[in-house]
Amino acid sequence: MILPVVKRFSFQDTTIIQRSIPAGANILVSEGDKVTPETILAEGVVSAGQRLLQVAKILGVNKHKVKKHLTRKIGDKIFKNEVLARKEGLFGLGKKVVTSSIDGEVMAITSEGDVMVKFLPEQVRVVSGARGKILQIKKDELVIETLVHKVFGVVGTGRIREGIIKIAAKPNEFILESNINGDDQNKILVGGASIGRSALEKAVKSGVRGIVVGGINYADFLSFGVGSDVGFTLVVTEGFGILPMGEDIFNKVKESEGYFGFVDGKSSSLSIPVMAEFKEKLKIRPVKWREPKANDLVRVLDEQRGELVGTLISIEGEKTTDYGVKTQMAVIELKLGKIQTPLANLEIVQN
Amino acid sequence: MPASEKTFVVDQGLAWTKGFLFSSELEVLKKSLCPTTPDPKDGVDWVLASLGQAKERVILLNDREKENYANSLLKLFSNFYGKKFIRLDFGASLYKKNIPAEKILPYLRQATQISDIENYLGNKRIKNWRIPHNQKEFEIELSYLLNSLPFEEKKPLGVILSGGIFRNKIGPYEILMTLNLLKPSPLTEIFVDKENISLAWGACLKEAALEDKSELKLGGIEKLGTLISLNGEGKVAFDFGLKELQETEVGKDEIIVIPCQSDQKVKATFNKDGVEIKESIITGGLGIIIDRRDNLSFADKSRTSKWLAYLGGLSIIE
Repeated sequence: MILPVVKRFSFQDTTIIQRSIPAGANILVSEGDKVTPETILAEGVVSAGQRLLQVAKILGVNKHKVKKHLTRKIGDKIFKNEVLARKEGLFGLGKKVVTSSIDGEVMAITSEGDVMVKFLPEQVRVVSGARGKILQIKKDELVIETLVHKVFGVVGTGRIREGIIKIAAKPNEFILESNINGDDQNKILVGGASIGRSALEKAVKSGVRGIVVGGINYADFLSFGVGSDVGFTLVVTEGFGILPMGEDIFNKVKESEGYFGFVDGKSSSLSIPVMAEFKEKLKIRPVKWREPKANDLVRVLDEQRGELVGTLISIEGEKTTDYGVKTQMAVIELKLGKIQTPLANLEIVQN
Repeated sequence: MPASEKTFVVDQGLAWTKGFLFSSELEVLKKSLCPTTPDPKDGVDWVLASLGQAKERVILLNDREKENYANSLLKLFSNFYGKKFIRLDFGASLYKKNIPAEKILPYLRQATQISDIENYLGNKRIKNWRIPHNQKEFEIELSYLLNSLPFEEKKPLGVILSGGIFRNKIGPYEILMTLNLLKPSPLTEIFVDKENISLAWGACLKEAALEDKSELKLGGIEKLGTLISLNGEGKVAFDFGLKELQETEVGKDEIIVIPCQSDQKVKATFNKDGVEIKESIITGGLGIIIDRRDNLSFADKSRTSKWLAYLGGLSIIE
């Protein structure tokens, strides 16, 4: 029998990455320039956008009478957690306030009684995060050719996104809502055996750019609309179910915690730019399918197991298992010991 | 087919690529299989190399011709038995359908979470050649496949069950689940394609222009058993060639399985719809299944729920 040869990770792949440039920032590099991870690609004073605060609704007042409840005039500055609007109750009861969730400037009151607050402009610097060459400069992004280490999962969804890599959970833990907070904005969270629906929703709300996790329930994965983009990118490294992230992948990514990464749902991969300068690229001849042999590193397609990567010890003949399935069997060695499993359920791991 | 010419047949399915080497006398000499590779040529080349293919004739089954090959096989069976045969194909293409886990759950014998079913099928869709690791996974696959085929309205007199799942050991439970798909004829012969070879046989038979055989022994396709469907009276008399007839009475809404040796010649006599039926049976490994779930519309949901309710008490006459 032949089996698929899969890459769990690859080293020093030449790849193209895009770095987004905020509107209004000045681009400091040119096409053809060589860059290092520390190179500042663009900088400027930009506003991150605006927020709409539903003052009329929160205070329970007529939308045309919001102005009299505001503590600021149009054009005034307001800082995070300061009171923006207030409604006094009767005899001290029923008092309500609306506080600002950002540092900003009061811009306008809409016809619906919402107050628009624009983020205060701040100094922004876009750092390369990768070593390579500027291939192309577009209006709102720079295209860079660079060398990356790549980690491959089995399935993913969402477009390419960049972020700072953060380890969110150990391989056999769950990524919970409590693991995710406001500091995780613009991060790529990595780790864990599973993530549930509520944690995924919190990730979206918190501005997380991507999640790389060992397993996920199939229904939760589908609910994110396979092939569409819901605001962050998800890569699943082992499959559907509660599946600890392989230690091989986890340990590799852990070395890069704090660095930039690029997560891509379409290719189910996490790319980590190579920091050091290499003069030569490693060449690995791609082999797609071949006969397995003893001592091959293999991965078991079995979501009941906590550990999925081991060494092929031997290939047995065709047998009928105790549950009645007739198939060729193999013996593999995991950390916890030897197991017998259908040969067809193995993938040969090539790293 | 010219004398002394062997034939290689490669059947490239969605999940598995199967290869068979047939002798000039239409015997199966060798078999080989591997998961279907993304580049189809890789799998086909490997299968042919493992069969030792040199210059002999190769038939590569393509999708356009598969129905014709299936019909060749069915024609042979129909001519031999003198009754109409159909083929129920539980192939991997059925996994493209989206069957809700709630429909699969009732057929499982072990306590199972809905998410376990969904996750197993999600992983199966990524690697459709994967093989069940345990009884629960096996039953999930069988239940899924059964829910994905429509009811067979044609009242076939003979059935060939085909699909990778039937390479495995199949017992009364699995057969009864399968037969839940059929509108029952009074007597149905059941064959199972144990090697996923039925289309390859069809190709060989078509090439050889063979429609009749004096002895129906096609390697890899086994006689499994015979289904007798009763209503009204529940009595069946069997003539095993002994001094006396063996009579069996089946209660209303009961199913029983009478184990028999394979290739035993038996005559069965019973009544259905007021008509006396006498049939000769050549027994299969499973025996004779007598189903007396009468007076129910075949698509009636209570038929399935009743079947599930008494499955645990399936009576097998020793």
